[in-house]
Amino acid sequence: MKILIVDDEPDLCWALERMIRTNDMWISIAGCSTSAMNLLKQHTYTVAFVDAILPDSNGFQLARHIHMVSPSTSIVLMSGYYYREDMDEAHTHIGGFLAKPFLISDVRTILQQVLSADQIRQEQYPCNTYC
Amino acid sequence: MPIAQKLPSADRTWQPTLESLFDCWQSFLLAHHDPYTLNHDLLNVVASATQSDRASLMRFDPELRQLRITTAIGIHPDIVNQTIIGLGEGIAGWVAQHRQSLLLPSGPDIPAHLSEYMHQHAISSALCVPMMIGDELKGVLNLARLGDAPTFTSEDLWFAALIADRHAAALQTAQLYEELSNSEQFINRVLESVPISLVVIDHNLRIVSANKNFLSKARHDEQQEIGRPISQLFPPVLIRFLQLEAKINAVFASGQTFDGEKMVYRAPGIITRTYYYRLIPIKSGQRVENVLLLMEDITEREQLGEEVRRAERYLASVIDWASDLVVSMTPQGEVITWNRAAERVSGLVPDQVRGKSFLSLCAADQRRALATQLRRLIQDEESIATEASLITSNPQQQVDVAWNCSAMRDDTGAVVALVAVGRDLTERRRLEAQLAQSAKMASLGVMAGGIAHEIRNPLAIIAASAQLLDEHPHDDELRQQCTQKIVASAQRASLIIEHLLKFAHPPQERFRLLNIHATLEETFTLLGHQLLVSQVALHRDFSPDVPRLYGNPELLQQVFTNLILNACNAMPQGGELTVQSRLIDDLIELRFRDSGHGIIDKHMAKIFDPFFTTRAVGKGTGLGLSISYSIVQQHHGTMEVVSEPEQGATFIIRLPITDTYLAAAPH
Repeated sequence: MKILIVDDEPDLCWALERMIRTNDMWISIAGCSTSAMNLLKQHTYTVAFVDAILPDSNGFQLARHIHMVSPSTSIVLMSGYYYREDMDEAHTHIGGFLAKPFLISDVRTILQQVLSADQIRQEQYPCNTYC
Repeated sequence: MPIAQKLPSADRTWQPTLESLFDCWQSFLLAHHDPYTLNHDLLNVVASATQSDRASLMRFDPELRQLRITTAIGIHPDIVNQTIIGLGEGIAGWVAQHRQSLLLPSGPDIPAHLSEYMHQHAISSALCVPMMIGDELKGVLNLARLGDAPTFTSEDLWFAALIADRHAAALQTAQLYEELSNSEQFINRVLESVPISLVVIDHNLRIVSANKNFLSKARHDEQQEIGRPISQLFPPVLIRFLQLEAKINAVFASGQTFDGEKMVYRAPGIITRTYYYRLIPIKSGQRVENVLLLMEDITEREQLGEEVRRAERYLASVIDWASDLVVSMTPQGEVITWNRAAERVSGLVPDQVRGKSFLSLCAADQRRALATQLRRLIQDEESIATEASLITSNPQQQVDVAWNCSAMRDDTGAVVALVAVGRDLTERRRLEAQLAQSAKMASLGVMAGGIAHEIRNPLAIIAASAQLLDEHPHDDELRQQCTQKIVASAQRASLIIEHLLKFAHPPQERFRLLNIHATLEETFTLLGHQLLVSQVALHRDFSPDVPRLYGNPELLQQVFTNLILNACNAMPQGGELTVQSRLIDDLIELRFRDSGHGIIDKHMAKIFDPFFTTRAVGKGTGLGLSISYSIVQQHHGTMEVVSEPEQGATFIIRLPITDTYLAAAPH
C-alpha cells in the first residue's frame, strides 16, 4: 500500500510518517503540490494526506488534481485553520479531514475509514482533536 | 474855532491862522480814520480856503504807475471815474513824474503842452503839488481856478504844499490804522471761530476777555464775564482742586507756560465735559501782561479713547480666554503675545517666551519644515495649516498642535505680524490611537486564519512527537529526534506569538530614527503565513540609498500590515505583491503594487474614508486605510493610490527625511 504525505513542514511529515508506518506500507513525502503531482505520475497511491495550505497551491486544488489523475486515491485534508462549516463544503473526493494538531488514534482511525471503501465516504466527519 | 482863540489876538496874521488850521485839521484827522471822509472833507476845506473852482486828490498806484482821482470837487463824477493819468500826462502827470510842485501860469518857461492843456480846460490858473512820504509818491493835490479868476500866488502854493505834506502823512496813518484794524478783525474772527475756549486774565485774576467758544460752552454772556474774577468763573471746588489761581500767579511770576492737565468741568445745565487746559503768558517785552487760559474740549476724544480701550480689552480677553492657542509674532517669528491656552498647553508663561523665536518653541526635528511654511506666509500665502509639536516646561514632553498660521498685513501689503492659532491635538491623538488600536485588533481577526495555521503546525509537530515518544519509550534515537523537534517547534510557536504580541501592543508614542526596510521586513515576517495562505508571492525592490527616517516603527508597521492585508484580500486567487522603496529628492517613496482586481472608480474617492469597506459585514472594519492615512500624516507624509480595475492597485507613501542635525542645531 502506497501513501503520499504533502506538507511544507518536514517535521510534520516525519511525525505523520512515524505514526502510520507499518511493514506493508510505502510512504512518499512531498513539500509542495508540484512535487506531489510529479510523484503521482510515477506511483499510484491508495491514500494521500494533503495539507490545506501549500506554498504553491492549496489543499483543495491539489485534491482536485489528484482526483483527476488518480481517482482511486483517497484524500485526507489536513489543516490548522478550519471552521466546522468548512467541512460542509468538502468535496466528495476528499475522504477525510484531519485537524492539526492530531492524535495518533485519530490518524489511524481516519486511515482505516478511508481504506474501508466507498460506502462509508458519505458519512465522513472531521475528527477534531484538541490536545 | 476854539483852538484859534487860544492864540494872542495881536499876532493874528496869515501865519498863525494857517498853523491853527493845521492843528484843527490834525485833531479832525485823528477823529476820522476813514480815508474817504478824510479826503473829501480836506478837499472841501482846501478848495474853499484857496478859492479854487476845481479841486481833486489823486492817488498814485506804484505798480501801474498811474494816477487815479480819489476825491474831487467841481468835476463831474463820470469824469472822476474815467480819469486815469499816466506819468507825464497833463499837469498832474508832469508833477507826479518830476515830483515837483507846479504853479501855472507863473512864467515863460511853462512847457508848451501844459499851456495848451490849461487852455483846453478853460483853466486860468492851476496849482499841483505832489504828496510824498520820504521819497515815496503817494499822490497829487490839484487846485484850479477857471475863467478869468486871478492866478494862484506863491503863498497859495506854499499853503497847498504844506497841506499835501501833512495829508500824505495822514493818509499813511489812516492806511496803517486800516491795516491794523483789518488784521485785528481777522485775528478776532479766528479767535471767535476756533473750537477752543480762550480766556484772557489780568494780574488781578480778572477776566479781560473771553472768546465766543468759551462763552457758549460756559453758558455765559460777555457782559457778565468781563471784569469778573476768575474764582467766579468756575465752581470754587474746581478752582481749589486745580489750584488754578496759584498756577495763574505762577505763570505771571515766571513767564513760563503751564503746559496743561485735564479738567473735568460741568457748566450749569450742561453735561460734564472734559477739558485739557494750558496757561500761556502774554508778554509785552519781559513783562507778563496777561495770562491766556486755553481750554480744549477733549470729551469726545476721551470717550473715543475709552471705547477703543474697552474694545481692545474685550478683544484681548476673547483671545486670552479662547480655548485654542493664539500666538502672535513679528514677521521674523519672535513671539509677541501668548494666550492662556498656549500657557496651559505648554506650561510656559508669556514672560518665558516673549521675544523668543517661535520655531525654538517647537520640536527640534520639525523646525526646518515649519520655517519653510512660515516663509511662504511672508511671501504670498494667505494662510497655512500645519502640525508642529510644542515644547513644554517638561523637557520630556511635547504637545502635538495643529496650527493655522496667517499673516497680518498693513495697507501697503507688507507683513506686520504673523498669527498662529493652534489646537491641542492630545485628545485627538488619544482617540486616534484608540481607534488605531481597535482597527489593529480587527486586523488581527483578519489575520487569525494565517496565525492559526502558523501556530498549529508547530503544535501538531509537538503533539505528534509527544505521542510517538509515548508509544516507543525505549527507542533512543526516536526520543532524541522527538525532543529536538518538540523544543524547536515550541520555540517557533513562541516566536510567532511574540510577533503577534508586538503587533497587538499599543505603539510607543515616541518618534525615533528607524530603518524603513527593517520595519518592512518585520511586517513581512508577521504576515508571512498570511501571504502563504493567500498564495501571494512577495517581491522586494528596495533601494540601498534610502536613509533612515524619523518615525514611529510600530505605527508604520500598522500601515504596512493594512496595505499587505488589503493586497491579499484583493487577490483571492493569489497573485504578486511588489514592495518598492526609492529615495526621491528629500522624500522616501514606498510603493505597494499588487496584481489584484484593482479599485473601481466610484470607490477611489472613498477608500481613505473611515468605515468605508467593500468587504462583508464582520470581515472588515473599513478603518484600516483611514488610520493608515492619519498615521502617514502624523509622519508629515502623504499617501495616495493609483489603480485601474483589473490592473491591480498601487499604494504610494511618501515620507519626508528628517534632518537629524536639526535636533543638535535648532534653527
